Amino acid sequence: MKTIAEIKNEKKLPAVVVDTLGTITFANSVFVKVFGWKIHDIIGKPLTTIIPKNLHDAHQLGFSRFLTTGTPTLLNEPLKLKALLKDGTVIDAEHFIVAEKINNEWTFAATIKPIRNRIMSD
Amino acid sequence: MTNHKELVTQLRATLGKLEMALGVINDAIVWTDHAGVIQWCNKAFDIIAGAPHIQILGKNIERILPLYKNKIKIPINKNFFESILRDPSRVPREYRLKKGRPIRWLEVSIRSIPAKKENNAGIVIVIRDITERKQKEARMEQQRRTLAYQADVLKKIRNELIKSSADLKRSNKDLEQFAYAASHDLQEPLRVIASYIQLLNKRYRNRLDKDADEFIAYAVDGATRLQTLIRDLLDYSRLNTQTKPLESVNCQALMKKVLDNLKTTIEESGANITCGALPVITADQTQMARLFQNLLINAIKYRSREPLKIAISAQKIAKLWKFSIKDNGIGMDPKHLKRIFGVFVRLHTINEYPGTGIGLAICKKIIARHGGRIWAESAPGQGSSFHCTIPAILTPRRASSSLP
Repeated sequence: MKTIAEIKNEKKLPAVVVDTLGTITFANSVFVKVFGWKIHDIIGKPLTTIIPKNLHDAHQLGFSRFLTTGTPTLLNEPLKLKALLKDGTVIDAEHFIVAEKINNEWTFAATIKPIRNRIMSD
Repeated sequence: MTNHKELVTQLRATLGKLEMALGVINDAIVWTDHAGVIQWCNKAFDIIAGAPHIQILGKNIERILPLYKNKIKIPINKNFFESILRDPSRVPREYRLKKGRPIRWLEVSIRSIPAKKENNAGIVIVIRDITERKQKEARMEQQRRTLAYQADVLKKIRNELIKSSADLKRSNKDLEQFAYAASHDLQEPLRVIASYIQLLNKRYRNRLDKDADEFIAYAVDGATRLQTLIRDLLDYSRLNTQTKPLESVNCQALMKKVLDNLKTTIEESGANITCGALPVITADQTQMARLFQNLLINAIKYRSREPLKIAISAQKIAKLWKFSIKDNGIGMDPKHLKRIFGVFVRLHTINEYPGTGIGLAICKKIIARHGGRIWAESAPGQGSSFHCTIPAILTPRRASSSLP
């Protein structure tokens, strides 16, 4: 199982880190390159910036449920989810999400590996 | 903590609770955009859809939930939702979900979620699995149909029985009338025959040869017996046609009268008769007297060499009075106990014991008219007991004026 520190040091796969408020606090250079976002476009912004719009509600509710219960349903396993490119394209990507409590607050990190087929714009 | 952070934390807590609450209810909830793309659903929806939550999100609901109405697949698309928004009341509420086996019935409610920003508007769909209810309704409908069919069959049987009963009553009445007419009309010619034979006997006795005397004696005897038979048959056939209305009958007083009438016969037999307390009942007094008389005559007639003892008693059993006449006479084989109540049935020859064999048949008919039952208990050499029951409270409807 990967740690947040290991994901932050990831050199081959796109990676992001998110705080307990759901704000992006880190994105590696691979993510910037592959997804087309500039760093200032996403750091300090909600995670929903890089999630297709029609999945925002599901994300917010699921994220909030985890923070309330502490019971994960999507962590520590590869998941095929949608991701949003800067140009508005929605792609399938294999996500691997981990969570740790740092200073008594949850922190999340994920590698997001695009899967070959590109789909329609958001 | 900053105000912003505090606000977000509070909102997250509320959303978290909301998610959990929606996750435990049995009804499936899903919301989509106006094109039917699923934006969120609860756990109950995951179960109905039969797919993991992650695979459902972002898909069009038509792919996830194939719904049928009257065997036609419902296209869940923009047009479908627009028609709902125009007139929600016209949307059918019940659908069949044909996804795998078994088939499930769903009750579906669809509402639009209005929002200031069109992007935030959507459709919320609430789905209740009513399969169990539908199955129960189907079972009840099947039971209803079965019961209706059975009721129909019973009605037909009842009608047949009513018709048969009416036919039987008519037939019995015809037979009664025939028996009455036949016996009545036979009397006159028989009387003529008997009279002339007796005249022959009177005028020519000891004036013809010995054989002629013997033949005349047989003819006289035969005519006399035939007259008795016809008279008894007439008597029997009158039991239902010449009845009296039911009235209060003091059986104690009635039995005393009957015993007085049979005084000579009783004295000749040397019978010792005991009588317990007898009740007051509602009955035809004349017929009850006839009943008691016939049973007592039989008890006296079929006595043995031992001094005759006859015990008369009555006992209340539930709503019936049971009368019993017990003797210590010759008794009879139990195999005859049913047939002795038939018309003209005798267990002995006329030379052994006189009578036509109509007495017990008359008793049976009287008891039947009163809605009761008569039977006997006996063994050879052990005497006989005759019992009969009569309802304690008799209404004119319970007493029948026709054959049972």
